[in-house]
Amino acid sequence: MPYAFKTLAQLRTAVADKTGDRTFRIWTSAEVNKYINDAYQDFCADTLVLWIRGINFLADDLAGVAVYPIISGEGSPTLIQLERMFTNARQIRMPPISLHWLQQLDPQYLTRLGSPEYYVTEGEAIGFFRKYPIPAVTSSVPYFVEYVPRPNPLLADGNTVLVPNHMAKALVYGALRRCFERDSPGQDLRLAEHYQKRYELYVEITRTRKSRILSTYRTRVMGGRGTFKRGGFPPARPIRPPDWDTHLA
Amino acid sequence: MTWAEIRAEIFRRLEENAVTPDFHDVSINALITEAYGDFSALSEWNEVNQDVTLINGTTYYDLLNTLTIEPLTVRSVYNNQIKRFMNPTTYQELDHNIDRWEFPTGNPQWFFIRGVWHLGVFPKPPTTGSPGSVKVFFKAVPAPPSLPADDALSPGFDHDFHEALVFYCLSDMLEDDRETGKALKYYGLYRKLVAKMRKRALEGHNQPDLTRYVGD
Repeated sequence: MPYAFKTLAQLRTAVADKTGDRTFRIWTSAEVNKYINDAYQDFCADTLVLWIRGINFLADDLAGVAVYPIISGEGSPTLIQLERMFTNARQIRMPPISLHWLQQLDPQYLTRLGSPEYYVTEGEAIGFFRKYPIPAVTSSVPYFVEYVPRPNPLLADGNTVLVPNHMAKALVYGALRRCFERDSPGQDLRLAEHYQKRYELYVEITRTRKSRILSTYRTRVMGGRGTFKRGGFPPARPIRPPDWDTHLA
Repeated sequence: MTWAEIRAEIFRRLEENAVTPDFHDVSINALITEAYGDFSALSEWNEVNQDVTLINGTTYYDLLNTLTIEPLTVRSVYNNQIKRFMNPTTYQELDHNIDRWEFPTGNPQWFFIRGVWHLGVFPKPPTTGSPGSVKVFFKAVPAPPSLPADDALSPGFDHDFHEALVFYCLSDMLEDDRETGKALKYYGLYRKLVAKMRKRALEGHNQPDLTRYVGD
């Protein structure tokens, strides 16, 4: 396998090199492309590596309409996980609220009109959310969302993956597992399991990267005491002479 | 072990003739280079730093496209203006503690990561004037060796772990030869060394115990 690869064609060649089927007689090139795409989708869903902050084009307020899609539909990346939502109209974040809390807070939430302040995802179809209160007037001021998207499929040979080079190898392992699993000449379930382990190692390490900074050192932004998971509190900051910064400059 | 010794060890374990090996379709140097990249990416032993120029009024920076080396994990961020390391936080903590935290501007003092490679700073740099820069300390894959020109040099990490590259190459070559049992054995050994190196690199187990100098 080369040191770095990013395009569908490069990934397919890497898979073919490992299966030994360089002419795609056992596993056709279309089939390998599909396996690479499946592995790509799985890897992004397993690790949540991608992150997008963008406008939710289909969430503009419509008078009397309570439920909206979380992100725009066809042609856009689909959602894996919604992180935050906010409206530009009032320049504030819309906090999520659980359905249980909402029902306790306002039994009339299904009909309450006003200016939306919270959103609820529970009780709605996947990919949709409810605004509370329900918009009283129509407005075209956009909503913004921050979310983990599902990547667009790689359709042409020149399409590149959005993950860095060092993660792209996991896609090759994921595709190899699928190749060797297939019930056909060339099937090798033990090798398939081996490649699955390799893929899982990449997933596991990528997931830990997301939280590592805070796993050893956490601090409060305002007020309260810092929370330190390991090793107790850090040593106090040294007392610096008054001209410390000037001295460094 | 030097790169040449690593190559010799692979041939020795395979009982191969280095001049006319059976695994002739495998470029051994390319495989060793790949092993070095894989081991470095998984164990994260290599740390580097680079400056990121801040942009007026901007909270988020895409490190994957900003840094010239692909980052594996961001370790810490140093603000070049106030000459201090910034405190790590999360967007959840900011949401919890500060109303509308995305609007204040000033010298960034906290940082957080969204996804794996989006750096966020708080407060965001002012909308006018020179925003300055921050120094990002991160784990990264080192530059690949140029083999066979670098044969006399050694991998950059501790020599205790050089054998990992041998195990990786053996596993890879045996996989291609459909000797699955042996390949799995060598991959298991490789994985153990990755875990050990990773622990050492990330948890500071290679640091000397300083408590006897500064007291408990």
